[in-house]
Amino acid sequence: MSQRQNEFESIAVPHSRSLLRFARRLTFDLAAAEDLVQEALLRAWRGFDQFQAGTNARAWLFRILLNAFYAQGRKIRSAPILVPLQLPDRDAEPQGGRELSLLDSAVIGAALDDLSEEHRTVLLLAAVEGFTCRELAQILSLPIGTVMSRLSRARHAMRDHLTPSAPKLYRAQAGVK
Amino acid sequence: MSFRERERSGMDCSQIAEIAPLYLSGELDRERASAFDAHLKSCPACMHELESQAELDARMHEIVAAEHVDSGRVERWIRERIAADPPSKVTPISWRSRRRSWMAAAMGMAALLLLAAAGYRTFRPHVAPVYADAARDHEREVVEGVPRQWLSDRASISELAEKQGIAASAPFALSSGPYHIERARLCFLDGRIFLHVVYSAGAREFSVYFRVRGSESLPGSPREVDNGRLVHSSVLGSEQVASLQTEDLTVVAVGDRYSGDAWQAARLAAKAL
Repeated sequence: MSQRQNEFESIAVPHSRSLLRFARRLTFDLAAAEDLVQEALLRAWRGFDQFQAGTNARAWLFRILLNAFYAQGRKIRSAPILVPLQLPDRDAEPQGGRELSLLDSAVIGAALDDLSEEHRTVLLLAAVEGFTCRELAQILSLPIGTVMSRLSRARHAMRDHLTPSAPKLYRAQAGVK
Repeated sequence: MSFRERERSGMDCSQIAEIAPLYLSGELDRERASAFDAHLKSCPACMHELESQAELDARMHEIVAAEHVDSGRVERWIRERIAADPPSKVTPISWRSRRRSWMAAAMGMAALLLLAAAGYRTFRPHVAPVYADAARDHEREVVEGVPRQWLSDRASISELAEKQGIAASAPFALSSGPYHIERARLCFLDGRIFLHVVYSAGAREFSVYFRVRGSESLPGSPREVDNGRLVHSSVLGSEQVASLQTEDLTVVAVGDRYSGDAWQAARLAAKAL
């Protein structure tokens, strides 16, 4: 194996698990997610000569994966989408003492799946993958202000799914519609 | 007083909400983080909100990160591919075979050019350059997301519009109902400057290009809409292009052909502008 192949192996391949986890949440389908990660890693390998050592490889890979997803987006998004688990009735009164920390993981997972693709993407990248707003701006090719407002909207959309009675004061202050 | 100066003199709840994502990701500098913390100490509502957001993030991380995914198959596949497909692999060939390859390629290229020229004369599509440029620009800038400098705040977008002679309120007139304005920049379509504004509709994004109306006429199939203005539309590959002219503006919208966003945006423009 050449030195370049070894470098790619050590820089890119270790991120395949988090790429696959993210891709599965994007596509709702493991086979489609595997195809997407393979395509992303192949693109990364073919463009590896342009990758600058010491820069953020993880952000670079997620950016490539998202570009591949958008490039194939119409095909992937037209695939059947799994019906999310039944969520709590939005109009129902919250159960006494029921806090976010006690919510069933399945409910949080289903609420995440139920978000719009735009909100799910930014929330997964920030909350699950731990990217900063500046990294998100690079990955999503967006100005940082757009990233911040999109992230705020996504967090509130998520909370709306989970706690329909959440106070709306903060949302109005954040300019969230 | 600048935003930073106002921050130093004490943040209010709206500023806290605005920069909360930077706080949660630890990206605030020390000075702003201190001002942020000072506000949280004196404002139980903001404190509760931040704690809820942080807790929700932590729960999402805990749940999704714990999901079992087996990347073994993907890793095996990519290892096999990189072993067989070096990034700058050059296959050594002899001069004779290279010459044969060159001649074959040249003949093939000539044949393709002849076929293309004949086909173009016979089946030349009647696509207006401004539509073709708009569809190409949308595909590159929005669908593929080529990195560009965009303006995203209302004041900057308004200023950019006014510099082009477009009413500052025009781009925002379409930001209603399910549509949100996301970002804007200038671009060239058919050799003329347009204001390119990107709107989101849920997870989808579509483009609207604005320009002060000139003497040009719009091609495409016109369909009259409610207030008597004509909306033209064309389908170019996977995109739908819809356009109209008001007394002052030429407006071209581009979106996924199956979403109907371009048509809806053009109808909205016909009513609102």
